[in-house]
Amino acid sequence: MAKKLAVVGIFAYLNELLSAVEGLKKEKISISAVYSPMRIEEIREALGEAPLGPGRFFTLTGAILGLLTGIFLAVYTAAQWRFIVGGKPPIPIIPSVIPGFEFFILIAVFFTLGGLLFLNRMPRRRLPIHYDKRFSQDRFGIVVYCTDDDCGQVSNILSDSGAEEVRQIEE
Amino acid sequence: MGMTVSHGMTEAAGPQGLTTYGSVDDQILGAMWNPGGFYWLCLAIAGLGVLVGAFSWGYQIATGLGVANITHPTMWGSYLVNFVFWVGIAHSGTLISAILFLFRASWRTTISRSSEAMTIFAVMIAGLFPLIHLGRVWLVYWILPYPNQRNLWPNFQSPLVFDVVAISTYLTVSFLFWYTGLIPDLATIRDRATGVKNRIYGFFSLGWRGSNSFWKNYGTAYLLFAALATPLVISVHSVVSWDFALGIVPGWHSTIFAPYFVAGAIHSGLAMVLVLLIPMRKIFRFENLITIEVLENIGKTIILTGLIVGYSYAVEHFMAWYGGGKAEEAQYMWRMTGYYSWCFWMMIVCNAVVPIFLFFKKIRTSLPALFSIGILVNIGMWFERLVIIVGSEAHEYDPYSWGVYPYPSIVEWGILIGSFSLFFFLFLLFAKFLPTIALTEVKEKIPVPVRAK
Repeated sequence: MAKKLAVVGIFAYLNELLSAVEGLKKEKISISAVYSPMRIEEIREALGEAPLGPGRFFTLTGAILGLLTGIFLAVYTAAQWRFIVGGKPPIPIIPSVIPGFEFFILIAVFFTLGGLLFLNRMPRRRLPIHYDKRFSQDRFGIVVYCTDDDCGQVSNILSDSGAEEVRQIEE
Repeated sequence: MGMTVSHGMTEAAGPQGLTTYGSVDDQILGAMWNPGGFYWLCLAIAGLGVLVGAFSWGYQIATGLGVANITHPTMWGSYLVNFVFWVGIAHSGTLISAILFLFRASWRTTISRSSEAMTIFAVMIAGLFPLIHLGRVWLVYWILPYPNQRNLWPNFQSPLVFDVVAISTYLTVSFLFWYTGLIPDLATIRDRATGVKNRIYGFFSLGWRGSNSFWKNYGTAYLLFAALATPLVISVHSVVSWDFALGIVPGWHSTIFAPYFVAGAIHSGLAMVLVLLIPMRKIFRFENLITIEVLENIGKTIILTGLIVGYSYAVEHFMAWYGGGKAEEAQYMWRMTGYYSWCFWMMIVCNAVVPIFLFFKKIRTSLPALFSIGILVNIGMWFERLVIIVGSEAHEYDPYSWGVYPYPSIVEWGILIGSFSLFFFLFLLFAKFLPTIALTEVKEKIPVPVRAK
């Protein structure tokens, strides 16, 4: 597989990272990833991302499946038992609400976690070559995939914005 | 590592004295790696207690359930008292991590991780008690809904099966919520560690790397976890309360049980948070993170839950009198004056009267006072379970079948000690191997680093 060129900029200050994002967007250069040690709203806004990801559709799917599973289990087992007591419905509605509710939550949570793992392509054994260990601690980072022609321009934008380190890698 | 980047000052109620992201990692992870001699002493004592509990249960399995002092009509005895008590303790973790998260109560930041861990350990221990009470524990799989040749299924119309479903769902959801919150922190440890530690934490961090898309998907999942855990936490103790309320036993058959039990559960859970966190902040030198303001806010929440619990006690008794049911009226009169009356009055004082002192700021901000109130509320809540569960069974309709559960046998004491020891043992192990305070959440609370141009 052909190797891709990338430029990684490491920043100590958020305002400089944001100015680099603005600079790259102005030049219509696609940003591959912006790293930070925690969630930062300003980064999301600078990248123009929606507040919520597509994970919520996984949750909704799990919730509907869970609700149906719980109710089915209660109804099916009651139908199997066939213990008819005078005046009581063989398949009661109210007691089915509780397994329905609990399975609704349980399966929705499984799907939420599954969605998170799927969307982030986790678990993953190896980290990408461009990843810097400081990204999870106290530094911010920008990764831009580029060609031989525009790598120089990307490096200049990152350096001019205040990156404390800019490096070019192949991965 | 490069230069240190200072961020400026944090807000008064937030983490104090931490001006860089690096200092957050250094303090929280430093305490984890080097907890000090007192930690090991506590771990050894808790470990000894776990052995006492394990031996007691082993003896009961070998000898039979007769070694416990449970007998007709008080067949649930101390084991179910312990079960409900521990389920209750489990409630504050999700309250703090999910409900306060949705309400944007920022003071939860430094205590949410420990409270979630407390929840998981408490539910695990609670789940042991129905097994302990089962006698023939090896037949527990009969409760699971699996196809079998006898065509027998658990009865999903029974509150006891509701309970199995609710507790196992709560344990699973609490664990996954806690683990999801841990993933970014595990990645931080991975990136700071070398050798075996790097590989172990790397395995459990699942390849986390904190890019913008990772954080967006994580934020969505965390919000939805909180949104799903919030109704769940309300439902769990409601379902536990229906174990009782759906029976026709005087003292149990009441419509207020669900909110009453939920408030009581959160009451005891918050008290346990105080009992755990006050020593923990000292042992791990977290005074600047778990500040007096945070503990004071827990105290204020205990005032609220204490008032709800006190109101519920009054309403129960009022309804027993106002409803005019003879057996119900006799049950509540017996509670106040009969065999368990000392437990009843202890419950009233510890749960409803003692928290009133928290109205005084001086008490709310005093560590010895908060710690003592935490212990008293926990004692009171244990007695509340005894009064409701055992007291009601002991004095039903027919005087011929009245009888009392005299006191726990030595085996029951051993198991009770074992349960508390296991709880503290697991918590201490958690504090040694995982960050007890969420690194990324604390980082969110300190100002971001900005350089003036």
